[in-house]
Amino acid sequence: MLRKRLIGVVTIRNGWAVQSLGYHRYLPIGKPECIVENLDRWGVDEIFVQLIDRSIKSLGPDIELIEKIANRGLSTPLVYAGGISSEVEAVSVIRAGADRICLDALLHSNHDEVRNVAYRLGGQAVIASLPLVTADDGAKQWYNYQTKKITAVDESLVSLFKDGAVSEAVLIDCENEGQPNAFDFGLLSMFADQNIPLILFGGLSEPEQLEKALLMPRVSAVAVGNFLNYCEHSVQKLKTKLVAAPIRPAFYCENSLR
Amino acid sequence: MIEIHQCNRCLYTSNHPLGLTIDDDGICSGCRVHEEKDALDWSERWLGLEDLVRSYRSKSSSIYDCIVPVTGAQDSYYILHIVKERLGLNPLLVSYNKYWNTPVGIKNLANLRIRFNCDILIQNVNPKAVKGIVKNTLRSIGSIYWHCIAGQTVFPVQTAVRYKIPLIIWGAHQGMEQVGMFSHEHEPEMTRRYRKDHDLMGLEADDLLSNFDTLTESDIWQYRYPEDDEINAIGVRGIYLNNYVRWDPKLQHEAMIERYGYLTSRFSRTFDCYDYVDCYNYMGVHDLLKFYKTGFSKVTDHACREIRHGRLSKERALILVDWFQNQSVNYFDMLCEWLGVEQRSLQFVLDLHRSEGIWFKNELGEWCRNNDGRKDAHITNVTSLGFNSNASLSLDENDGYIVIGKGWS
Amino acid sequence: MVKPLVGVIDYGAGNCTSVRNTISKIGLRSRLVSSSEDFLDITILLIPGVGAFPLAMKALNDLKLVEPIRDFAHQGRPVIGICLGMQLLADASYEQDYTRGLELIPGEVKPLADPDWHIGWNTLEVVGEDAIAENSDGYSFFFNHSFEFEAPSEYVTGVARVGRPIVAMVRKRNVCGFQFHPEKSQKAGMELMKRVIKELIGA
Repeated sequence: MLRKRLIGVVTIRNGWAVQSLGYHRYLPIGKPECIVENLDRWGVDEIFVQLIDRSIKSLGPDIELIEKIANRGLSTPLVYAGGISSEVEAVSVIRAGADRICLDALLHSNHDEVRNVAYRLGGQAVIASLPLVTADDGAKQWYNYQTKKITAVDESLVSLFKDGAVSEAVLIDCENEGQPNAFDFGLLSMFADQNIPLILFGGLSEPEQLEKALLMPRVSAVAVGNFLNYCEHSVQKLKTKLVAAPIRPAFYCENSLR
Repeated sequence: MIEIHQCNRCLYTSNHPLGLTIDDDGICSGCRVHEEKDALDWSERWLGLEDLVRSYRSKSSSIYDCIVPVTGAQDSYYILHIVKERLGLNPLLVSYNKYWNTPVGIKNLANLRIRFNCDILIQNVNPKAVKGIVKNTLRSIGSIYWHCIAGQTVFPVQTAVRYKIPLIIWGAHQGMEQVGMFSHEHEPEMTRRYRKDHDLMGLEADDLLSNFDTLTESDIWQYRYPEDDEINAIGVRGIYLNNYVRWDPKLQHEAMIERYGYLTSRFSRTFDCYDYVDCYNYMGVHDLLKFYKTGFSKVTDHACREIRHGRLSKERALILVDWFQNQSVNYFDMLCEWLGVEQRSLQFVLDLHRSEGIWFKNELGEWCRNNDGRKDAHITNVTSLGFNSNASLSLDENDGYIVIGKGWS
Repeated sequence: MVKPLVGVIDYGAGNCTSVRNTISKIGLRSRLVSSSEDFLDITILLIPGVGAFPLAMKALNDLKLVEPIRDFAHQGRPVIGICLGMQLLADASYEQDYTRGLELIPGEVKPLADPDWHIGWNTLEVVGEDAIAENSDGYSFFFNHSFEFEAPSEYVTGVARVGRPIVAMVRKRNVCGFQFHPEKSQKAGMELMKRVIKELIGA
């Protein structure tokens, strides 16, 4: 049976793993490779590493960081997001040790290049990161974190999914990010008519919410960031409480010697 | 090249070893989280603590309710005051013998045990292993303190597993207090990840084995963290009291001095007389290494803490820090003797760890710091800061390190 | 006795680091193979892969690795293909342009349909009489693909289900393939690799 996934998110800013709160406040956590190594040992289903300052600074992907993470013997699937703006860069990210890539800035600027990336790596390796906000009129809108502007989701973006260039979409609740039990399920209405597998992120912390999300047919995974850093075995503790969700059971490592 | 930014309020900069973020108003994450101390309802948070410990209270008085890691310094008295007197729990004390114990520290530890009437377990790792680890970590990562922190943070967890006592009660979460790593409302708990990432500078016991050819299994096995399945089987959980109690080390220590006779001492490299009196080297060579590697000394941590508590102005703090961090180190010779090296050799190794971006040698071959705005102030009297000492590290004796305790009952 | 050496084909498609780390955790040595000279002393050949079939075969052809790989297999020496590497073992693939593969295990690679993707942890069902992975029956492994190797049933040694069964493992004597990523399937993946390599070397 195909299981759904609990994804551990590591947000990185200036080379440091941080807690991100509402897309504007950041608290330091530690070295990215230590956080990732720990999530690996905890048996999370996938690790999502997102570098939030690469595109803004016109830096490409941080290949050195990916290699540092991969060289620790990571045995969990790794998704990388941050600064990928071309097919060449996407390939270098996979080569360095990531299994899939996630695009944000490129979705606003160059859909042709997104298709090139998918052609090269296969759409299953390409994920779209979609930060979403609620506009003043209540409509759900797509947020561009570089320009800080909001727009509607356009047909061109949707066709990337329809044509198989992108396999999954991460719906990010920007406003509620870092707030416990706050994810706005109303955001899913933006993609009500499309058959796009969804990963939900931002303000997801409680077992009840996670279970609700994972039982939705269109949701393939839930992603949790900040909240995984507050206690020991947080991944296992969450999994143990997700009794009704089709998810891999909790795992406690017996021998972590490498 | 990452830009370094300064907090507008305290003395920290964004290249702090624990990580530090600075917001759009130029205030650092540490100062912001500190603001919560005056915004949170601490009586409500105390109730949360009582609620949390309730299920850990043993039914019989012969079973311990919790483990409390202690030393002859830091916040041990205050932690025990809360655990025993206010929460009414029955703790098992555990302590790691760091070798460089001062007489005043040993007396504080003995007094702690007696005044609070507690059982205590002390872990003593064999000298060959400890000296081997110290030499190796000093050479490679410029740290003599790895073994102390490794032992202090792992022995309680090993004891929890061995004795089947799940709850471990710590004092303050260092990352929270210094750099605002978490909000008080996040209520962070003890994790193996934090220990490896920050306490142990990215190196667990087995990493020392693979990194250093001269260490063997028998040298490091005592510092190995229990496996996840062992920890889960017991339900081991470490909590931090600073999530539930408004944490102010100066006031706390002063209350403990008055109530329980906690002994304190002056240091050459800081104005604080209360922390780290149990160790000859923490405010000595260890502090010097910190200064060489990061450009900061412990006095900066003390100063930032006092600025945030509103007891020290930033201007005065800068003068104090400048004075103290350039003072000489005491008990250097004792460490050399313990290591079996010449003083010049030790200084040579220490100098190797001076960070290139921070230190350079001038025309006279003297070490200088970049951007060293020396204040040329002369500090002789810090009692106006309110830190008073009532003893000295060596209690006016001629003893060296106290390795196995002497009899105070 | 000489310690076994795993040769990991490095043809620019997919990450060799993860695979080599797993091999190292098992206790074996590995070497990158990107030319015919690198085949010397190799005990087992491992073909990783992420990406598109035609580009991968073009890279193998450009590096002149196709014949050495075929020879290695035809000599009865063990070959393991992972994910795209497994698909490359086939006769051909319909991905993008119809492209011939290494032709080491009969069958063709065709697009998945409904669902179009197979992404996530799925349970491996061991089928047939091959004992190579029987201890991994019922364990979950990580899949990430949109094409499937349709092989005759005698070469299918494992499936996973998304409603209908999808080919997850294939084997023809000394050549075997995993559609999933054992190097990214945590403990189950490492145990499987350990057993399979041991079995293939002993065989």
